Amino acid sequence: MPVVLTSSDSETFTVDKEVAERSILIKNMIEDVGESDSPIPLPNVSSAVLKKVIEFCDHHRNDPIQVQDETDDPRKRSNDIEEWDMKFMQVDQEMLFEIILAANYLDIKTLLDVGCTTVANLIKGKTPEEIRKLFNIVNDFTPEEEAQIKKENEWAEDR
Amino acid sequence: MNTIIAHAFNLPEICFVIARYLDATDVLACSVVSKAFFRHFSPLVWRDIHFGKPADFNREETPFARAISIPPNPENHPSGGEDVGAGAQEAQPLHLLVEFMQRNGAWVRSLSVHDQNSVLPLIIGKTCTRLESISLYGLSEGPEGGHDSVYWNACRELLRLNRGQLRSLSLTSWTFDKSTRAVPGQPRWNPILKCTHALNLRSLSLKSCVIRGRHLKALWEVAERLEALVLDECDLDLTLRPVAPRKKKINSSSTTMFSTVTKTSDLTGLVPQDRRPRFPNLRELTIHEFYSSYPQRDLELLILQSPRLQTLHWTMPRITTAVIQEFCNSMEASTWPELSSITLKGDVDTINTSTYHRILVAIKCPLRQFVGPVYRMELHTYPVLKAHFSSLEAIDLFPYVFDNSEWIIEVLTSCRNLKSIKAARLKAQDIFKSAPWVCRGLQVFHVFIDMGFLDHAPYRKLTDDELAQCRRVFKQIATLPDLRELDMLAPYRSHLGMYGSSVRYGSPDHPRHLLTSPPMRLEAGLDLLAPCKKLETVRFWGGKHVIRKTALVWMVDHWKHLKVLCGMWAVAPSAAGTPLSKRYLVSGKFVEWLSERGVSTKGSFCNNESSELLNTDCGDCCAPLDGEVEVEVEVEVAKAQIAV
Repeated sequence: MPVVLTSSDSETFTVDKEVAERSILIKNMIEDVGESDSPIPLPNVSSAVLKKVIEFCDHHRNDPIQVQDETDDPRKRSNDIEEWDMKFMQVDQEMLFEIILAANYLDIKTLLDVGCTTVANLIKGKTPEEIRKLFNIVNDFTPEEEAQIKKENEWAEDR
Repeated sequence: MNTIIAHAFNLPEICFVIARYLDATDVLACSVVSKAFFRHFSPLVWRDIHFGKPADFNREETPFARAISIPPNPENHPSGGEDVGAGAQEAQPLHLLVEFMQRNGAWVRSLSVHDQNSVLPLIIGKTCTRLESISLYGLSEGPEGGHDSVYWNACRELLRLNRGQLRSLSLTSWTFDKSTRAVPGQPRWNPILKCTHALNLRSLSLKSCVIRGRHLKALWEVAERLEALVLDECDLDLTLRPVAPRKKKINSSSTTMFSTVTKTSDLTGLVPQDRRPRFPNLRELTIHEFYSSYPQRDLELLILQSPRLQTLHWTMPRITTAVIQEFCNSMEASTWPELSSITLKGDVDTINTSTYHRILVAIKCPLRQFVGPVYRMELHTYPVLKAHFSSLEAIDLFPYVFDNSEWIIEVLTSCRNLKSIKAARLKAQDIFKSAPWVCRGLQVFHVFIDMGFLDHAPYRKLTDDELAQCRRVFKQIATLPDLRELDMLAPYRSHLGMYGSSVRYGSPDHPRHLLTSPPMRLEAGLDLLAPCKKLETVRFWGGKHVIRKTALVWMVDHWKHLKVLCGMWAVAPSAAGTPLSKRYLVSGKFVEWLSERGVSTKGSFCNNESSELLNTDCGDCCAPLDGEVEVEVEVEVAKAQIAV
């Protein structure tokens, strides 16, 4: 049975139930409400983002569902992204973070992981200054504060 | 900054997931980017700290682990106050660190002390109030008996402060000399004594520890809440068990916390009869090399006391048939209805194929793994295993019949959760016919892949068609992205190449001369294994074919985690000691070259064989590449051949 989703800008998307249920939030909603024709409102997700999210869920519809668990198998963590996912994540920075926020809100663990891995790969090997440039962040520390933190961090540097 | 990005970096759960995929230095860099970043990344910098670095951290298993190095000057206790002036240069930053931790100790969730030459880790530990995991390396009773009271006090305080959140305690080498009497001032204290109040303790690991008297009492007190227990080379007498809790008599008799209670009146003997089980909540139990005990006691006093057991690792040095029979009986009586992962190690003879079959039949829940020291599986055991294919994570597939290639394919195409398979021979022809392999998470793959080429293929040049088949095989293996261990040698040695044949060993028709593995050469498609980025260990049977540097360079370039590369070759005795022998990863420049890159070739060896196959036909399996110039070696090889 298809499920109807409504984005924040009131666009509706009709998707297969098994695709929609990649989102734990939607899955729980469907379980709570029961079978119903009425659309599921997603006020935090715009249509552009929702389209991407659905594309991802559709591609991964047959993957085994990852159990939502803090103590998940750490062996599964790795910075290797599958080729399809990598291409899927080739979007501008704003869209990348929109997808991450949507994945977090909709509770789609695999998408959140892929998104965060992409961000991590952007950050890797960069200095603080380069990270600021990367995301256009203003350094709001006073010089004294920055010196203090750097001094404290010396302990945590691998020597 | 874009508001979307700012919003994302303001959610701690998102920062947490990002940081999990970063290296320790990257997390550190993030923490100084801005105030918002500092808020969410700094706690992750200090989340999992280690003093005295263990072996390399595995970033995948412990993404936040970080080694804190202390200047090698154990005299500099920052707490000692008076020391600070003396070694001003080093004491100053130590002092800063302690002050910093006093403000931010709540960030630390896991503290590990791997060796014990400074009290500082424990002083820092005292500033932590939200530790969920503590690992402590013991201060063993040295010949001087010089224990530092600062150390003991800090240790007790650390455990007291964190008892509320503490879920996991790991103790290594907490020992004392049992033959001497306890001397006042020489503590036989063990952190386990402080755990009786850690009501959330769920996991306890004791390695090389001596547990006696009060310690044992404390162990039985926490036993009820444990979900995971590891006893590794521990010295403790399981038969002792305290009677119903007494009025604090011990405290009055020993005013110092350092004395050891050896009065047996507090402990009564033997097996609890009408009591509830000792470990009512235990899910995972590991018993390893229990030298002071006996399997019978392990079974009665640990395993049978854990009715909710799900995972059992049991290494039995002195297993007896009676014990294993009792284990079987208990299995059949559904003593452990949730037991779904069993690893038995020990004497091969007592755990035979029929015992293996009995246990397997008795398992009621979906089996994750059952690995035992059984070298052969009876034919009728396989269908029983088959019922568990959907849940199976590990399988040893060594049947009585030599050829079970179809079984291996069936497992690879059916067991979605498979992480480890050990089997004998997989025929390339069966791979070509196979449906897609579903075990995408396979990490350990021990199997000899037999290309099935005729005419003593391991000792001659392969045809273009044969090389194309090798490429198909490598392509199939490449569908296993999580592979860490690819061992095509162990099955060859233990099941195929050396034994298990009625043909005379020296005969050219002995099976070991007829088995062709896909050569570890780029020309044969080795480069197709590029997706197996996580490979750490690769073992192979190399026939008589030397190693090529191009292949080694490729492996080191593409398998960043490679630690072991090991091969076995068959060479004519006359070739031993010639320049050729340097091309077999046994000694010489390739071994050095690999070792410089962190790859060990340990275990590689050449089998001297006086088979005519080795002397007559010296063709290489793969035609040499035009571009490859290895003149000096080739010349040496030519010389060696003339000498022969």
